[in-house]
Amino acid sequence: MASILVDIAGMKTASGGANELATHTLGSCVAVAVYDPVGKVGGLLHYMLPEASLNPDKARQNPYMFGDTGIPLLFRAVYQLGAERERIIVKMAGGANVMDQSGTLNMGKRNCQAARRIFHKNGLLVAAELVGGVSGKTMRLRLKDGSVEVLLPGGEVRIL
Amino acid sequence: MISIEELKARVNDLPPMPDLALRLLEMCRDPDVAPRDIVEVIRHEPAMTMRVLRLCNSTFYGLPRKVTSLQEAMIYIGTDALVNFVLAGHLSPMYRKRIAGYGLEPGQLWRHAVGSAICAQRVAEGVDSALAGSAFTCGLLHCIGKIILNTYVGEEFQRLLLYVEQTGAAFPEAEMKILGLSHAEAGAQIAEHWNLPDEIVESIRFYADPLSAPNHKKLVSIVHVGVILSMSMGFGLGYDGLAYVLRPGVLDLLQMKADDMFGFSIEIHDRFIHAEELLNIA
Repeated sequence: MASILVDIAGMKTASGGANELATHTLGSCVAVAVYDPVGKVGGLLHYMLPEASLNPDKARQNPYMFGDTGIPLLFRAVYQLGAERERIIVKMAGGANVMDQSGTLNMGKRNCQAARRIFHKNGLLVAAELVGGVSGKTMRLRLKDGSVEVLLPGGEVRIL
Repeated sequence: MISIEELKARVNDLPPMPDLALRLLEMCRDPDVAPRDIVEVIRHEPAMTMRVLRLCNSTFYGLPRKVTSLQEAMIYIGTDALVNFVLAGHLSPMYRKRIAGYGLEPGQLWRHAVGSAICAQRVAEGVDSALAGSAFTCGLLHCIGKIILNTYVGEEFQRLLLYVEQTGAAFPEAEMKILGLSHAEAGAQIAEHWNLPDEIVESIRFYADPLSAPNHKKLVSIVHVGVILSMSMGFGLGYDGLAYVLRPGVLDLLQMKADDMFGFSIEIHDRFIHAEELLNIA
């Protein structure tokens, strides 16, 4: 099985049941996995920040750094591999936060909200997610069946 | 609970800080020392000279032409960067090991230290650029105590995390409560044992609670924000993950807004990609 690694502020797609897409070091960043079971087509995006308006120049250079520019491109990329919108299964993980009573920072929360806004606007449902909390996470999407593994420190695995 | 004798024995077991690093740290704090004096000290260490030249010619600095002498290197990268590089060379063998007690695979604690150093430096550049070099040094050292606490935390991490969850305390406070010692305190004792300057010792001891720092609140607060950013960006996360508290009042003290941190993180991401090379050279 080939494991294809997605970097921070990166996105990759793949097809064929033998592959998996993986991303490490999710702190406040969010990873969105999309999967079409018919062609076993999947894509994984690992974005750092919620909105491109934080730095439009950077967003032109690397749209995958931001949720609101990265997510539409993720969908477009899997459509090009034959995925169809009606069949796409969406899962997400990441978005951890440091404890912050004033709520001024909330990087992880704002990252999650960016995704939710886009999904809501487009009538998409998130099938499963593991977001928030204080743990770093690693995410794997298996193209064999669309299952998503989230690894927590210490080897704990949650299946989404 | 960890006894004082046990802690002392473990601190003594660590490799001593090389004289070269200590001497350079002192020199770069002395306004009467000129860059050529520093060149004079390093010149006598051929291995170090080679590494400094390799560093200067790495993509981290992206210089337009090849640097072939120490004098030139000093002009391009400056004294602070040079001292930090020498320090990093000493720390990396200790940091690169697997720190199983904190759930860190080989290289992860080093990643966290370098990531935090870059973050703290960027925060300092926005707040008070005179502190940028020191902020990098302190970022590099803030988690050194984890090397010692490693064995103890491994047995208790579930209790530690439960304590964090139930009380909202930061992870080092949980360590203090349950183990009788935090990695911040252990790290400060290592720094004292190495005779590092006061502001570094204080930054390590109070990085998770900077407003308690007695003499260097500004620098310690910069390091605090830098480390929080580093965790948010996922640099070398273990069991303690993001179980830290962004202390109320710290951003005000630094006259920063939360959104500044979002902006910084974009630049830090770029710097860290180049620093991967630094990770290998040091």
